[in-house]
Amino acid sequence: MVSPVMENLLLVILLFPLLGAGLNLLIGNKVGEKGIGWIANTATGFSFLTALYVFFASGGCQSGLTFSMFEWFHFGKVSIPFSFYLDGLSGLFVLIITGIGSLIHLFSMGYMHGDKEIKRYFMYLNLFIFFMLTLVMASNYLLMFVGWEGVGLCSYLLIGFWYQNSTYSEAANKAFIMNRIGDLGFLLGTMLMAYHFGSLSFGDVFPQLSQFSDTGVLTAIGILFFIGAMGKSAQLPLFTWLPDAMAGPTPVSALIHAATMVTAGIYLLARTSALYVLAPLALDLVLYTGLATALLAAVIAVYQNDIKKVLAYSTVSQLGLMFAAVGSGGFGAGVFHVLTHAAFKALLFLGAGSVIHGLHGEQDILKMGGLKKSMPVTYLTFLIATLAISGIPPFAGFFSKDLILVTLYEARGPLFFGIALLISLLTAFYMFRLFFLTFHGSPRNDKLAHESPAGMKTALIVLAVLSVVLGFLGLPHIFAHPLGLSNLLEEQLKTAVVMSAPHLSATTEIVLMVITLTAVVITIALSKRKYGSVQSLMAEETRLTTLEKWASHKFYLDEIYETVVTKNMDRLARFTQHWADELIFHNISSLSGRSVREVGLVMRKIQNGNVGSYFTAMVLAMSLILIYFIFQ
Amino acid sequence: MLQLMIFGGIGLLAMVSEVLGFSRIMSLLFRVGTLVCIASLFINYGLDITWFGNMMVEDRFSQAFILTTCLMLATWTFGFGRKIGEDEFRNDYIALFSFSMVGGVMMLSYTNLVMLFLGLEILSIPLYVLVGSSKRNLKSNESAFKYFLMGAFASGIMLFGIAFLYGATGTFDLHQMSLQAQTGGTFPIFFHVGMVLLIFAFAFKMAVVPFHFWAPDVYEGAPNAMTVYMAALVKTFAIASAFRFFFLVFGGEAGIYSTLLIGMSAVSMLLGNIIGAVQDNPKRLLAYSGVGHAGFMLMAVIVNGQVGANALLYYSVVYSLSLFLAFFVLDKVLIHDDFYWSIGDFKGLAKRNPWLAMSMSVALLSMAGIPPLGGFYAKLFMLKAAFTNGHYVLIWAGLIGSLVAMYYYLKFIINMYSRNPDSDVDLNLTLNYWDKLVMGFIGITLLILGLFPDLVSALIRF
Repeated sequence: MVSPVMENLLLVILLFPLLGAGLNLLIGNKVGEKGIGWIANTATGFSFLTALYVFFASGGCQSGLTFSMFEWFHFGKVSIPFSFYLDGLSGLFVLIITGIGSLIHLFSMGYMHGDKEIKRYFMYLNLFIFFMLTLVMASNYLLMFVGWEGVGLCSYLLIGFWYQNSTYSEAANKAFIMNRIGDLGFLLGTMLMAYHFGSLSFGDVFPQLSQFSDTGVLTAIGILFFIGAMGKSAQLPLFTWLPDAMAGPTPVSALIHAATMVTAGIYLLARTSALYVLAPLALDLVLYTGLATALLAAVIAVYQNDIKKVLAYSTVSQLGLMFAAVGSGGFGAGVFHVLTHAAFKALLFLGAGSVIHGLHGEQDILKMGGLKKSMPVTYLTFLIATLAISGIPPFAGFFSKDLILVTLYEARGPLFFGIALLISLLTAFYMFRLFFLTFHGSPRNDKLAHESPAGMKTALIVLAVLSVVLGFLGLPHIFAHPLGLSNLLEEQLKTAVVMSAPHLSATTEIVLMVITLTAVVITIALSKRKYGSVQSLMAEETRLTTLEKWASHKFYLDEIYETVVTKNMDRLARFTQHWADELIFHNISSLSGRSVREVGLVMRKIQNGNVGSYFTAMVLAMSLILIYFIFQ
Repeated sequence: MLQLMIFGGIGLLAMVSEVLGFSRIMSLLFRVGTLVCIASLFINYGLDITWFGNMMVEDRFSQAFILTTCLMLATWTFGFGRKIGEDEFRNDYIALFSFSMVGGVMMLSYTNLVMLFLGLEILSIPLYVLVGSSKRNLKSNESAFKYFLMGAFASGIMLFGIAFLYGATGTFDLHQMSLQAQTGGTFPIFFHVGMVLLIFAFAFKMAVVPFHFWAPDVYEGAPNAMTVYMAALVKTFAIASAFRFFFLVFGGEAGIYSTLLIGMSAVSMLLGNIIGAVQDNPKRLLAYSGVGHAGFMLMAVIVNGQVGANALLYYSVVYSLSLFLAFFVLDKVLIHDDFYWSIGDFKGLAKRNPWLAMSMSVALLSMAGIPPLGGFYAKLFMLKAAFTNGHYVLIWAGLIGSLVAMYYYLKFIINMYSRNPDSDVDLNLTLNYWDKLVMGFIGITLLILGLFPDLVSALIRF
């Protein structure tokens, strides 16, 4: 039995970051840079500790904690409560958000050292944590949407944090607008759900699903929600904002654009898993979109030279894999990859941040090299993360990626397995290309690299440890059973998410694993041969094939959007401005405005300040009304 | 009727305080008394208690409205009380305000027409004095005199109407009247005459067309603190007492008089806002906008019942708060004492003091009904109530009126944000912490009410 005290703690988890942001707003100017950092760190840290306590004291939140505050509003039959809900799924997400969030706050103190606007930075960061927690802890889709919009806002503010640079604020605008397109989908889905189910609370909607026979509606809701996820989680065709979002400070990229916010789409789909299993058409769309995005982004990533851009495309690609898993019914596999990806991708970004910090702002990997000696901690942790993302056992990425591949094989057969395998190989290739170019070979610039301060190193090391151990939470059955262990993640999620554990025979699973591993190791060896010991500044590769040229220009997607969408929108806007606005509406409105004015001017004449005429007018009106009433 | 006694007691104390030598603590006592009133409401909250030989009943409706009006009064004293506290006649003002509150409480809880009339008079007479309280100011004197003349006229009409009603039914008691109405007895023609006259008297106090003529002149001349008290609280008292009359006598509907009320409501919303659109004096402008809002609130009387009561309660709170905020800013901006005020005085206010500009915008946008501020739900509840009862005329009039109102509300905002201040004004309009606190409090309350509208509207459950 869960005590009510525990449920009150939900509010505590949520309010600490908000309190931190508020406190910094009020006294931030007085406490200095250190003080601001500590306020923000303490807020997130306490939030994390409370979350940990709640999580373990309630047995992984299996029974579902609800904290109802009040009825937010009701309209017609639909009543929207203002309440928060924590179960196996959201409990896990809360731990990821506050845990990784705390580490990134810690890292930021070193990284943002000396920035004049550090107060604004930490306020936004705390506010982001608050909204992200609202998103995952909401008990209904509308409150979730509040968090959804809130994280979008914070992401916008942080991408454009250095808004003096106009490219950066354009990147922020782009992120915001693309997200808005997705948000519209989410909102429409919510409305459709409210219309058909009369409620938006998870607890009311999901039980109704079994009696709901209209698959068309379910598919429509599923697709609309997925459009929302496309925007937030950067999937085709709305993914081009994420690489540009790297304009923000690197810890922000790590927290928002790799570990937490961009996985909100997966959370939404996993949360709605009960609906998706009844709408196979929507799931197919998720699968195809996910795989296409993953493949496209992986190909692009091979040809990028900016350290953060490579990581950004890699994030898009990994998110695509998660959606592919979700789309083939493996909601658990998707969430598992969210968990491990949060650790190793945050670590990669922080490592990249450490490198950029150490090289005083250099981001081009062609101009790096040889950092192995000067930055040993960064080197080692980056290596762990790279191994993890490439899927080398026993690092975390191996288990989650393996689960995704197995799920795809089981649900969709060898072809889809092959595509996903190809994506994994590309991942291993470009990640090791990045790794070798950055840390091996000889230095290719004249900047004096230095290792980062202790706070930043601590964050790196903790994340490295997580990148190793998190995978064991989802130990595959073939290993778990002989050892007498269980798959902890499956236990954790089974009450909240529709689970389908793979039922392949152990032999098939092992064969698949061996194939994957061998291929990955060969790929890494290839990468090492090509980039392992680059000595001099590499010339821009001149003899590019057409495909390579396209890939290095991200398949000209930005240009295509510009021509097809933006230009035409401009044309439409100019057309309506001229014909509809200036010619028709302007005249109508000025005419109605003028007539209102004329009436007003006439009526005002009665108000001449003379009490006598007021009485006359009143008595006249009274007499008329009385006569009407008497003789009607 | 603890509230009646508390306000009456404070009024009496204030009158003798000068003689007995505790005049210094009187304004504190007034504030404390208001808070005690609010607290005392919770003693009997939700119970029906009759007073004065069944002439007044403390029920859910009166309790909810007394609660909100006392809260508004508290907000008002913290916002405007300071200025009054510095006046040499402050204790006289306190006595007058207390007595007018006594009248207000009576108008919210009467079940007998005698009590209604008494309440109206006790409310009005102190107001005549308060409007003219700036004694050496010709405009203030003029408006006091106009208000008194027309107020006396309205009191006469009300008394005349009550007399007709008594003649037709043989009783002053609303329950008796309601029994007669329900048993299907046909009323003689002079019952209708009495009803129509009573409606006229209510309409005068609410300032709806065609009984609105006093409002702009009186609002303009009265000191700001009195204007806002009249515009917010007195309007609430008048409309709530009209609501109560129809609720008790006709059992939650306006009956055959709804045609008349709909006409007055619709014309007020249209005409009030249209004339408002050509005003240049901010105080007169807000008076006309108040006529439009009174038309909006009158919808609640027409719809009546549970829905109407909830909508009216919410609307009155939000409108009062928005008005407080707007007049608070007005009071800081229109500091030249020559009565030639214009919207031009707001030019470049954002540059002179962003707090004032922001607060004014919040107040005006709330009155215009822009989400997420409270005014949005206020209008929405009213329109929804009218819609479910099929009064489509009211909806069209309300929408068109709001549209026209948008025009002059935005005129302020354009002046504040996109014009430069005149060269001869003081660029640094300073505020102290107290001012900022008051404005911040009201602004945030408006936002909270807009986000959680059920906080207020759920106070009445019949």
